[in-house]
Amino acid sequence: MAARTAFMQGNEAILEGALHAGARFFAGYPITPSSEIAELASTRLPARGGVYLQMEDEMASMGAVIGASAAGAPAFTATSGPGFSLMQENLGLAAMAEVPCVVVNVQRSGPSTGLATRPGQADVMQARWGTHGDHPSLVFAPASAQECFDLTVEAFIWAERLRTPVIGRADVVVGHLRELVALPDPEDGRALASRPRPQGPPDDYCTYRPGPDGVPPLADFGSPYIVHLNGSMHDERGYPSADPAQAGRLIQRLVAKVQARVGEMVAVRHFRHDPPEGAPPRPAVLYVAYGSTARAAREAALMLAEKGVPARLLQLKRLWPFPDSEVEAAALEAGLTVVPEMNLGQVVLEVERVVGKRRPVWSCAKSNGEPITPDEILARTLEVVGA
Amino acid sequence: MEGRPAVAKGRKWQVILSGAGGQGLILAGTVLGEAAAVYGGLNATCSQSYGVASRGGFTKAEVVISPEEIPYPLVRRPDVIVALTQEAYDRQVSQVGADCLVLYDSEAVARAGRTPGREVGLPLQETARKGGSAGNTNLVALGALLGVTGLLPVECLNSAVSARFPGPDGESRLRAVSDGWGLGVEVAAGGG
Amino acid sequence: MKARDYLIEEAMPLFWCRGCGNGIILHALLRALARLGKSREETVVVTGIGCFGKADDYIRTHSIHGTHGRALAIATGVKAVNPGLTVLALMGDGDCATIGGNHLIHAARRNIGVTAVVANNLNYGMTGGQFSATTPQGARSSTSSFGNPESGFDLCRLAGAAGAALVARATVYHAALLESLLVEAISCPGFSLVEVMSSCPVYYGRYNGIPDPAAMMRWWQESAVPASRYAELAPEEKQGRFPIGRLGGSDRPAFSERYARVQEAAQAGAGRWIQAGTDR
Repeated sequence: MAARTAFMQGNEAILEGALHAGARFFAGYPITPSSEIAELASTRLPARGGVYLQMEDEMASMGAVIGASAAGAPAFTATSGPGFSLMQENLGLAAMAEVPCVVVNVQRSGPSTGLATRPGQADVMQARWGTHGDHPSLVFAPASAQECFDLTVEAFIWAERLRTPVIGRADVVVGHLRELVALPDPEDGRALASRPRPQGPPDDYCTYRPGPDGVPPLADFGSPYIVHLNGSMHDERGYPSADPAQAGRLIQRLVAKVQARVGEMVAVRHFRHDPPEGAPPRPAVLYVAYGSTARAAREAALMLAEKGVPARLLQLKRLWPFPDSEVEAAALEAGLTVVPEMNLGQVVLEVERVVGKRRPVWSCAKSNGEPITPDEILARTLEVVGA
Repeated sequence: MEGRPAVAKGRKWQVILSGAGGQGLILAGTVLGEAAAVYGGLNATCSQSYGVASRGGFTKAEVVISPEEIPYPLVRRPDVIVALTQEAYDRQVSQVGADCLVLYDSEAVARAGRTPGREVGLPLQETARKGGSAGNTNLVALGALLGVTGLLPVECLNSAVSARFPGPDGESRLRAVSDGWGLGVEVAAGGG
Repeated sequence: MKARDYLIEEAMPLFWCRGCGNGIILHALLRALARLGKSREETVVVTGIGCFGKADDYIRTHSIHGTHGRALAIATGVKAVNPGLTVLALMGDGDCATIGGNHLIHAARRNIGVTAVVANNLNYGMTGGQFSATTPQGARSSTSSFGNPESGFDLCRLAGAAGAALVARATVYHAALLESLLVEAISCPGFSLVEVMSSCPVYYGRYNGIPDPAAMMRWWQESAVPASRYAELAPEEKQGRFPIGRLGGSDRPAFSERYARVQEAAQAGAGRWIQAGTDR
């Protein structure tokens, strides 16, 4: 139930979501367009006994987030492209050492400094593969201020539950978009995001002995359960190990513990827009879109239906693990799929992988620092529908 | 000149508030969106576009207000553009359709009259200065916008301003809204 | 607790080379913890990557084996949310002074209550003896066969200038001094740094004419001078020598003490932007 509503920015909603989920620590480095999150964290966290740290760079920010989380505080950071690149190093540490944390990337136009205040969505593959080595990746992408709140809560829940880093991947348009957001009663958020805790005699505790769901219980630094976190290949005790069988099992488990739970996670949202009554039946066009681009695609779908073409939108709220089955089902139901995105074509590759040769998949790519518009999506659609 | 338009219940408004960094346009957009969403019972979005400079440079806030859900939150075809600087006016001249109203500050925008639609120039800055603070030009502009278009009852805007500025300077801000609204209503009534 | 109680004995023998100084530092650290009566559960060891970054393999307290250069950043996060913990960052010169140099000066400036223990063996041992940011000018290494064209940092002066609460230096020859400096540093509420000149006969020694572990020990014995005496040396006598002991520090409130006041102010609603624009 909504305890109150407020007209707020996506970035503010991200902070509210983090607080609702129980965040107690933020470390970051100022960067446009995510700075509002840090600014709000700097007052709201200490007001509830938490800590805001402004670090010397994004490598340190991720390091501090990992340290704070290991000491028991649900922790997060927020950044944009250039900072997200620097965070890749310690994102790998969080994945390997299994330290829960949330990283928000309010994407801007790249590469490099790019266009600091202009939108882009070209960090999709970076969010999946940015840190080196095989690793799990869990990424949510909000398309509204409300989803900024909801998906930040979701990110914390899964970070803590699965002992893994989770990425919230907004973009400038959504981060700076103000809309009405329904905020639940703070009481509803208590214990939403909680990590598995060890039980039994402390001397028997092993930092990396997995529970039945593949997630090892995690104690806090300072607890009688002694914790040995390790970013090097390690055994169940956290001691270094070069045993190939051990290494293979660990890597498999890191990925499997996330994959096993995707059925419980937020994945997609469906929209259907049919032509006015009496229009001749035609195969539907499916849009697969995410972030602010999903909003443009929704408008394009409405316009397309007006023109007599049934239009569907599958909004991806979770980018990684990629919602294969949802995309497959929606794509096979439609005549063709169009994937609009603010990059030269990243998610379209995943859609093609899932759909294969069974249906045509078209890219609608734009990468110039300008948001993709409904009219551009419509024009591209009419082009390929005619083709 | 036609009379003041009736309070639009059924239509969607796409509004651009534009000028230079530091003029409080994003705040104005936020207050307008808040007035519509929180106090007007409508759907509203406000997005911002700005350069890397904190002061100066072209800045705009885009506000969409609608009784319906707003799928695409940015302005596609503006119904109203408020321009507080010549640069803001110039940069948008080419995008303005014949059905778009341009409301500009008559002191800052010397070269106007170049759009195909209706234009209204009002002494927004001067009014704010006379009211005690040039910093309230953004709120004078909002008042005038509502006065000219009637896109939202001014009471909604007053409530949003009061809630956002509960302190001692709230009074001067409400006065700025009221002064701007007066200017706008006069225009709408055909007296401007 | 005895020093041995902190040791993970099943991890023996030590991974370090014969003649390496790191075992001496590890032992001194465990003795210091024992002297201070620190419990395993209240103590957190943070390491980076490098030879001395393997020290956590042998320590039975809480630990995190992190990333190269970032031990101090991780330690900062630990201490910030739980100031009651004793947090040690164990690093080498490559880890702390070179790739992590930025984190070092900021940890000192922030005065976060972490003790940095730096095993300075004047080169990168784990990767094969390349020069680091503490390798002296002219010294040879696997990447400076013609003599190091760069100068090395004086880590203690660097950390002191950046605002550390306590800076001290010992060598692996001066094990008793090292233990007492570690006790002092761990007891210090602000940021403390103990630099330990450590032997790497396999690389640094071999490349610079002192491949014998005992000769390296003699080298430390001869070149280290207690701080009070070092100050009185003539400039030419200081050549090839360095001071040991407590070398400085500034008496400022530690980060956690200052941050507690931020929390009080925020809780009192004194922040200008508290809940701005969010509550209706």
